[in-house]
Amino acid sequence: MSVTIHILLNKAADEIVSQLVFDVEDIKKLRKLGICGILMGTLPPASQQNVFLSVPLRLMMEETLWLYEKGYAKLVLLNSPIDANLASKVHENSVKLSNISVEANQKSFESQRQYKTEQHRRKLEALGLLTAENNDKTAKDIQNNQKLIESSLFVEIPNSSRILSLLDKSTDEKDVISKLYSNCGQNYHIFRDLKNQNYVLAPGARFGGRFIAYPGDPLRFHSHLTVQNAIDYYNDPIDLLSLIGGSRLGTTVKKLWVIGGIKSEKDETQVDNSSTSSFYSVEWAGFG
Amino acid sequence: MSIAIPANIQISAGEDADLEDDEQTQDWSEIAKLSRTNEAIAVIPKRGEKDFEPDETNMQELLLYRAQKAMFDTLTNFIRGSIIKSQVKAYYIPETHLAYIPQPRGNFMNTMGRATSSGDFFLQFHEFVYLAERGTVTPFIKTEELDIPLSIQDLYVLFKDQNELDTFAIYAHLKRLGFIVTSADDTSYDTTSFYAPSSVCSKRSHLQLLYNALTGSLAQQKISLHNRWFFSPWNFYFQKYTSSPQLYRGLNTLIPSTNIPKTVIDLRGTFRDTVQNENTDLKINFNVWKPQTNYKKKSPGLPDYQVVIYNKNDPSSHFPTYSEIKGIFNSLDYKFEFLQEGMDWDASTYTNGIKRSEYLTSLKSKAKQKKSSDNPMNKNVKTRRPASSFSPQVQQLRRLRNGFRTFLLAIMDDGIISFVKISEADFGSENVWHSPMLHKVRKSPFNRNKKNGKNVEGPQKFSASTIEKK
Repeated sequence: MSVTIHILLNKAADEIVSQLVFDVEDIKKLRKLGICGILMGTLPPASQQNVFLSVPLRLMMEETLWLYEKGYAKLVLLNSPIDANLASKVHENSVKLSNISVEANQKSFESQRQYKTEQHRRKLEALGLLTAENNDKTAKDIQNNQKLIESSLFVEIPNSSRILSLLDKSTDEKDVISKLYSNCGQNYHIFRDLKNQNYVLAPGARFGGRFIAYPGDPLRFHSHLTVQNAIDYYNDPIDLLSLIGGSRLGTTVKKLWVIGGIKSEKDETQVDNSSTSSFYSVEWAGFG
Repeated sequence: MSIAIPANIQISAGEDADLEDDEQTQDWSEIAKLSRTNEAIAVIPKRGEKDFEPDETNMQELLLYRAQKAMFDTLTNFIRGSIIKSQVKAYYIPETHLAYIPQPRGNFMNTMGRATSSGDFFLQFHEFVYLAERGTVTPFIKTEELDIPLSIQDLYVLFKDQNELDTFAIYAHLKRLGFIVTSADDTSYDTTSFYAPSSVCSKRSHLQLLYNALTGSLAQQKISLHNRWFFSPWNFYFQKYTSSPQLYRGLNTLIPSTNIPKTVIDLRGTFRDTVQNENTDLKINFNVWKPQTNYKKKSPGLPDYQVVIYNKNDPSSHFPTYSEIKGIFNSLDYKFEFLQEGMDWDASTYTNGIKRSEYLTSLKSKAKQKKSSDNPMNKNVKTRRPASSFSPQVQQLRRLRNGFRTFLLAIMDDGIISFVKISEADFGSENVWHSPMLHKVRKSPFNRNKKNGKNVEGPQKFSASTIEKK
């Protein structure tokens, strides 16, 4: 099982643009792995709301790293800005690309025509208009209808690209991965350890943490933990005020306030499930 | 038809009775058919019930399966696009990073895109992606002979950097909520400003400007002899405190505070153009208007809100510092909602360097921007109770809670967008201490005061309403 993740690299500013997934099948696979990401595209027939959104799925850096470590991710690296690259490839392959899309459209149109004609016939049948005597008339109607059907055919804007496979790719996967590691910092260890305990993690700034953790799929379960940014287990102090503030906030949003301390630096390439961090949950006792 | 759909959804979510019978046709398939006819859903289904934690029961697994299936069916079946008849083709232009629409039509033209003097219609890139995602325009790239259709993925890959992607996401979020949004750096329309054009400023002598700058900074900090140089325990020898209000007043002068602009004159004195704050990445990204039918794209007037974008997880960015926030405050230019009610915005703003009222009369009367709520014939409009009719305590509480100059900070947290309102609160000049004197005055007979034509407020220097008059 592998998921293709296109990563856009902005060399000029030395940054890695958010990792996005466009294929619904890939999103399904990720969900099974407990990687949920955040959908961020407009959902076409319900385009005036922000509760239900559609592809693309935006991943956290930690999620991408975890998928890569476990061998689920197939990274495709593209150098931004891509406009000139894309334009030249499109020019080179214009005939081929055009044929592919025309073909796909024809196929879709044909099935839509069949579906609509059938629907129309059924409707007439149900109204009792499709009898032997006025067969001629209905035949004419159907011809007129053909015109209407032609203009009401649906042209789909596909999610996944047919062009990207033609583009020049960047090959320095190692660099990208190590850059992602340094961007996440210690938080990745926290993410991995909680993920290995079967928590599903999502971005948590809304609840006052780096992550929030769900015991299962967020579609069915409430989250239990707000996980703070990682600290060094042996050296970093914990601010008493933020401890109190955090636990009180946790009470308000019905979540445990969790701090994770990193005990040891593990080699990044080493993949096993041993934990590198210790977690403490803080709760406002409300006692006395 | 559209009413029947949410009902179906509720059935599918709450249907627990016939668990064995889950092979029956899914209700979501009904909606899937709708997507082909491009009909909008009238009512958004509510999020379902949730459980505390997995308990390994079949029941729970079934519910999870259903929730996931509904979600993925929706993602698969709600396809993007439009029917041939209403298709609007938009062509991406790699050289300018814009999109060109040869035959523009549709409602989106009222608030988005711009036409050049030659009549060509262009969309900015984020507008292009937003409209393509809705299926309102169909994205293409042109070669010599052929139109090659673009996918949604192609469009996203064309974003130049993280900032552009985040900006787009927040733009789309606001647009989906119905707001009218323009980029703050978009100069394609006649911009309106609360501040007089710079030609007026240059008439003032440089000396005067320097003087203003000096006294201004002192006044802003409210530095007085009391709180900076002379405060010591000795203070008590010079000043005797005989009553508790006196004590509180003494405290007020002890604590240094910043004087924030609250009136038209204050605001005009502190305005700094954004150009002066170039040492920071932080800037006003969007001007936002409330949804309105008579929005005029060419000269929209002052925006209702201004939005600043901040990506929380970007290692190169940081939460705005105090000086950055101050810079933003000083460059805000929107309908300051704390100025007097019933303020005539047309008379006190400037479009293209002239008073907006003059500007509007120079246009055709049709072009004037009017909200439907401004129509006197419209009786459905709720008139808001004027703020001055509330008691001073309520007014004070409101001032403290709402603050004065305000902007919205849109925080991007890996795809989850939160809006935080940041405003200047003025605790320094509000007397928040308990004052028994104030209550005495309120009990005093009003009639006598009215007869004499005197101010009802009484002599208290620190009563809440006097501050507003300043």
